[in-house]
Amino acid sequence: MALIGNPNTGKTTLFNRLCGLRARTANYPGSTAEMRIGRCDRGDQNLEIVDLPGIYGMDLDLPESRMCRDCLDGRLEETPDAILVVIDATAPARGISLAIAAIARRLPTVVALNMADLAARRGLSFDEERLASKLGVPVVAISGRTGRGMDALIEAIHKAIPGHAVLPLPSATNLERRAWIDEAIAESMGGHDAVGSGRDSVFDRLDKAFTHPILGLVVFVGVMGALFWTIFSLAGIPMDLIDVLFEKFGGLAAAILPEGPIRDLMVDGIIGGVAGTVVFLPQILILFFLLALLEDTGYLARAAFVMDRVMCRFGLPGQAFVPMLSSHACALPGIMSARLVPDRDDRLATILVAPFMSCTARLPVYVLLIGLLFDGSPWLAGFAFAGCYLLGAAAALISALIARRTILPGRSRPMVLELPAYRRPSIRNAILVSWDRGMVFLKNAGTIILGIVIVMWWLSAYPKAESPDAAIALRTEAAEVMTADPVHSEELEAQAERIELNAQQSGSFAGQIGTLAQPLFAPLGADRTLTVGILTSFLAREVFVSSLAVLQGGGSDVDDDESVLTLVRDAKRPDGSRLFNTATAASMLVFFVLAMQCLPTLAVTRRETGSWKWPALQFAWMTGLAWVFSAIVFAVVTASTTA
Amino acid sequence: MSLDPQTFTTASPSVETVSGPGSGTLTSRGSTSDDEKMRRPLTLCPSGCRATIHTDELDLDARAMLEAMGVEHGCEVEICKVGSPCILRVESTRFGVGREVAARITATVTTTLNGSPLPG
Repeated sequence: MALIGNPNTGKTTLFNRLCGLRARTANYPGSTAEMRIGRCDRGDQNLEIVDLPGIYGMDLDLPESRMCRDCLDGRLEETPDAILVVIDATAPARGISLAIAAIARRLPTVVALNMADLAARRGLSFDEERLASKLGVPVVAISGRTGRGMDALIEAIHKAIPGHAVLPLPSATNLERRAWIDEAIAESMGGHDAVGSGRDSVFDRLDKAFTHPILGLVVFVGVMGALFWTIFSLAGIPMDLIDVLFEKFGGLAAAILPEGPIRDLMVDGIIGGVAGTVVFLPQILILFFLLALLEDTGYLARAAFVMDRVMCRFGLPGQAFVPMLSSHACALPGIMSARLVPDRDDRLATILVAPFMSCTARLPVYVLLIGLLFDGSPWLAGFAFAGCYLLGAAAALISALIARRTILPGRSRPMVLELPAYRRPSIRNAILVSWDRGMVFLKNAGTIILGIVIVMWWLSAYPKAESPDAAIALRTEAAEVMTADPVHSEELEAQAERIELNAQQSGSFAGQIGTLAQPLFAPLGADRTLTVGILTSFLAREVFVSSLAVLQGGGSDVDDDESVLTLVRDAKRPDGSRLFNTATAASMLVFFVLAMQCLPTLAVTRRETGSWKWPALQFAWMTGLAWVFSAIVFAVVTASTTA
Repeated sequence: MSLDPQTFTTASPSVETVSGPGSGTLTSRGSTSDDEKMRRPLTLCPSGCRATIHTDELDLDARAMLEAMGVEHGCEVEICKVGSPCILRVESTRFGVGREVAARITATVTTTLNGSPLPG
């Protein structure tokens, strides 16, 4: 059964009420758009329900309207056996217009008058029988929020037959259709909408405040600040728990499995790789939970207008602000929340540029490189930090403008939004929404991302390098002094391990690629070691710091900022010059602000856009831009320091 | 009594619109020159008034979308807020209209803030 309705009619609340957790998200065949499919089991009555996107009209030239038409007209793999049209009982006219278009499909149809409890509180009453006879299909008053009328609704669905009344023809003019609907409402609706003037004036004042150019911005900053503060405060503990859990899994696997490639694959490849992605699950769950609550209150629609004033200058709609802001935490939830953007091209532009925003994974790299550049100048270091964030945001907005004028031309969808009534959000709904998003993310992590991390692990782990003579000598010495000086023996063992790691890094396929790619990164001031560091960080940016530590002989366990900083500051090139001079550190900083170095982000972009074309473009544009600007910075700083 | 749309007639339609993808040209009839004189951009209407809105200067897609949302050419709305966005109330539903779209919607104010009809 297909579930259709206008936006803000409580369609998703009804779907969640009927299906609960028995729902999954799938793509429309041949499309990137998602639909939720759920099962409703009541006694011996089972229903499979497809929740179609909220639409204002079946004939609009919009992707969501096309999807509904394709689904109801049988142009997808499966044609629904019945249609359930959800109408807002407090404002039924638009819903009835949609119901007329649905009934015209000649499928068994039922109309659900949702929010009947709210309508009753406002003094409205409905003669469902009369409206049913006018529409020629059953009409049931329900409340998706409270569950009122669910049994009657399911019974009506099972008894539904195609509509039999005379309805306005598709060729009828708007005026004719409107008159017919007005008559239907007048015949079946009683009472007067006692939308009190008191309530209205409160809504008016709230709307004026929330959409005010200055006050609205202040409120928005406050709300978003609270949102992200909550995410960071609450997500920390479960993220740490996930880290510990995967460490335990890794330890367990290492203990059970015999030494060899299978163990390496399991521990370092699969468990280590998936842990690096799944660790973001708490952020995603909390972000979507809070966004669902905010959307439910009606605030997000107002906030979209506040940000539209800024974003429209860059070819993006106001709704793009939330994904961009979320990307400061991590691009994965940011890109996933781009579904708040209704227009396809706007959404694509948002997804393409969101990873420019400085995420938390860039922080260790910023700390390292800014520490090298402005050691002992906290003010300058602070400005440099702010500059990195600003550079990322500016690159995102300018790239969006370029994208909208070149590869994604055309005008954005007109900025007209329904402003839903302010109301108390549904916790249950928010939990189900975040659960659904979490499952989608985990599925992605368990398929595409897992595949990518295995390939990257293999590239950096193979071929196995022979243990260098220096390492063998150190191990022999360690064994000899074991009993006499166990502490010194341990130090020697650790030194040997670092040398072996370094040899493995250089000898692996990734290391060999690094050697081959060095000329490409030479204009940025990178030597072979730094090139390997850059290449390994394409798996995930934060790997750069530990890679450098390993490559400089510090070992991957050196995670104290000061130790790494000292190690990297003292690092030398083969000719004896400093590895990180001012020009190299500055160019690397710009590179890391702008480059696309996160494979899970590319995988999520592919999932959200439905094609590898977009992540390929995202990678090429971001990394190309990073290369050009880094090369310029390197050349300018080199020239100015040698002048 | 059900109305058969095939025999359905309107006494004197002041406005007739046809919209949607692939539809033909949009027509609007019945706008007298007096009406035209009274029209002003939505962005210049006073807050709190009621007005008849005219969407005939919008492009097809924007107009079709507004009509599907219930903001039809010729319908009466309450203008709750003027500015960016303009906030309109149609029946019990509120809509925010961005400045760019609002500037291309004209309105004929029918009643002022205190509810009295406009003079003249």
